[in-house]
Amino acid sequence: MRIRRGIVLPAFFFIFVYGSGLFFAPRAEAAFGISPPFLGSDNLIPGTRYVQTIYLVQDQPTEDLAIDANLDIHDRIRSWFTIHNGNEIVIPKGTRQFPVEIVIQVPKDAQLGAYKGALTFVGKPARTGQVTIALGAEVTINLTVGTGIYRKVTVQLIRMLDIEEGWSPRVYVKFNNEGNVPEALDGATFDLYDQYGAVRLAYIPSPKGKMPETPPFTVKEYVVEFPLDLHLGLGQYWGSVNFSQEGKVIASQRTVFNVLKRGSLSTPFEKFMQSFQNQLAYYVIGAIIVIVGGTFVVRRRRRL
Amino acid sequence: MNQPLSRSIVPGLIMAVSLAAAFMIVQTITPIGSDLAFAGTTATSTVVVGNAAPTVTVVTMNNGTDVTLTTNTTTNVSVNATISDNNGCGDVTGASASTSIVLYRSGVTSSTCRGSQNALNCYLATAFTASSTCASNTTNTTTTFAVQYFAQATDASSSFPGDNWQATVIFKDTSAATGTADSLGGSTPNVLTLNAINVTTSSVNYGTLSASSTSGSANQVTTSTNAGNSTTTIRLSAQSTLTSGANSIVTSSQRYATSTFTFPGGATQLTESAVTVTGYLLTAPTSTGNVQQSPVFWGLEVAAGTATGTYSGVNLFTSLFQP
Repeated sequence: MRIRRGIVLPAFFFIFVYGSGLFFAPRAEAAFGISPPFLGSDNLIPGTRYVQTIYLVQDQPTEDLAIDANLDIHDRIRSWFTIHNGNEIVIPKGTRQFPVEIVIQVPKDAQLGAYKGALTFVGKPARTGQVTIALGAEVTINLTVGTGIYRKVTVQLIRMLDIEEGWSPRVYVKFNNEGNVPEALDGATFDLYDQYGAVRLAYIPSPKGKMPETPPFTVKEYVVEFPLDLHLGLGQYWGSVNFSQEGKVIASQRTVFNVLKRGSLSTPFEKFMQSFQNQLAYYVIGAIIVIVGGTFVVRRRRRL
Repeated sequence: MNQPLSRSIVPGLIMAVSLAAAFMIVQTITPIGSDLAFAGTTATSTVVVGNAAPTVTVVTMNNGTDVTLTTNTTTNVSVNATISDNNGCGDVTGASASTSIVLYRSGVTSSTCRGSQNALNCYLATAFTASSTCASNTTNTTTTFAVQYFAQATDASSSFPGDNWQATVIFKDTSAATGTADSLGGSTPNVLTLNAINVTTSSVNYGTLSASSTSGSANQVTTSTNAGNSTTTIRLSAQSTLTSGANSIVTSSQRYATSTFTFPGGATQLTESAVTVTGYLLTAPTSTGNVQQSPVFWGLEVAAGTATGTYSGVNLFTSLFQP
């Protein structure tokens, strides 16, 4: 028995000491970071408005998280910066990725040159223990203000939209102007095919109206309408669209779209306007009959 | 003169109309070319409807926008596609139809990615979710990938600025004919650089120290891990110095080093402004099992004349991207 007690008691002690260490070991704390960790552009020109979104990212959003944004830059360019969310940010509980939009407005009389600085996001945790650990992340700022024109555009997304009977084909475009001058697509074509994509029904050489201009450093989403003198019945069709700039096709898409029943996509206001447009012809014809009939009656009475 | 003429024309017209009517009745019952008209002749028409290859269109990754990853965990990235087959919906939704959807950094290429996958730059799925009912031979599909926080970035300051992330959808119909398409190429969408750290302890406790003493060789340890997809270092500072009511311990009384030390040793004094820790670098993880972690060792000096009490403060760990 003594031997057993001699083994059992130290064993309990061992389990208590090391076991408590296991059960009460410091738990892994939430990670914190930023994406992307850099801000700015090498292609700014005086008068440019540059907008960038930095995401504050955490993996365990169990509580609201208070964050201070501190801008460490030369006083000469401090007024160029606006943090849309303000300098004191609260990331709501449950949010893993919190966008912070930063606007840099380069004045028209800005001095050309390279500017550097930092934007730091610092967490303000509730205190625990003697020395609480707070997490932060630093965004490196690099701006170059020059005079050279920089052009770069991409079409990030093309989607053929479903339409209603009587509508013309419509194409959604997501256009990214990464350059420092305004840009626009200057040409587009649309080929319409039957539901098997085998027989071409129409060729529409250009969209309705001029395509919108996208400001520098901006992503713009818009819908391009291709006017069609053909009534498309209900069903599925294939479309093939090409977008070009300066005579060169820079994006294309070939896929299906649906023609749906009238009224299935319209907003209430559009429906009202459509019903008015549909009835307008009847109103006009009715008015002509009344005028002509009235004139005839009046003339006849005069003769009598 | 008119009456005799009409008398001779009218019967003729009646006769002609009657003959035409009789012909039409016979033709309706037994048309020319029918078996009755040419009894004993048969014609059998057969047609074999061949298999049309399926078509994959509008492959879109993450709705065409850049991917922001989430620290220490996965982020859902969607790949959408439209699949059509002129043989009908049965060829699209049939049990023997199959698909491969790959999501990859463009430099890896879809063929390489289909051969072997890794969480850094290549993901494969073999099933999609139909996001619309198959109608008019076409269905819209969505595939969701759980992309790891250390997936390789392709933005301007990353190691792969010339790449972007792409998706390829390969679909085989029930007759094993294949349709394939890639998402739009070009410079986007990118996986963005994520700079993040995780400190595995929430606080440092120096225990009880008497005035005019130091922590000596009893270092406290904080361990940091890289929770993003970029190499990072850390900057240390005191966000709030150690205080106990109106009393305080100066910030410089805390010292830190990347290896153990006996106070003060060669340890660096903590400051109010952030200072980059020399030689401290956390490289990006390459898998969930290969995450670099590095310790920082801490010590404290309590000057003579310091009032008794429980002192508390906040030390700030700031991650800094290292291109």
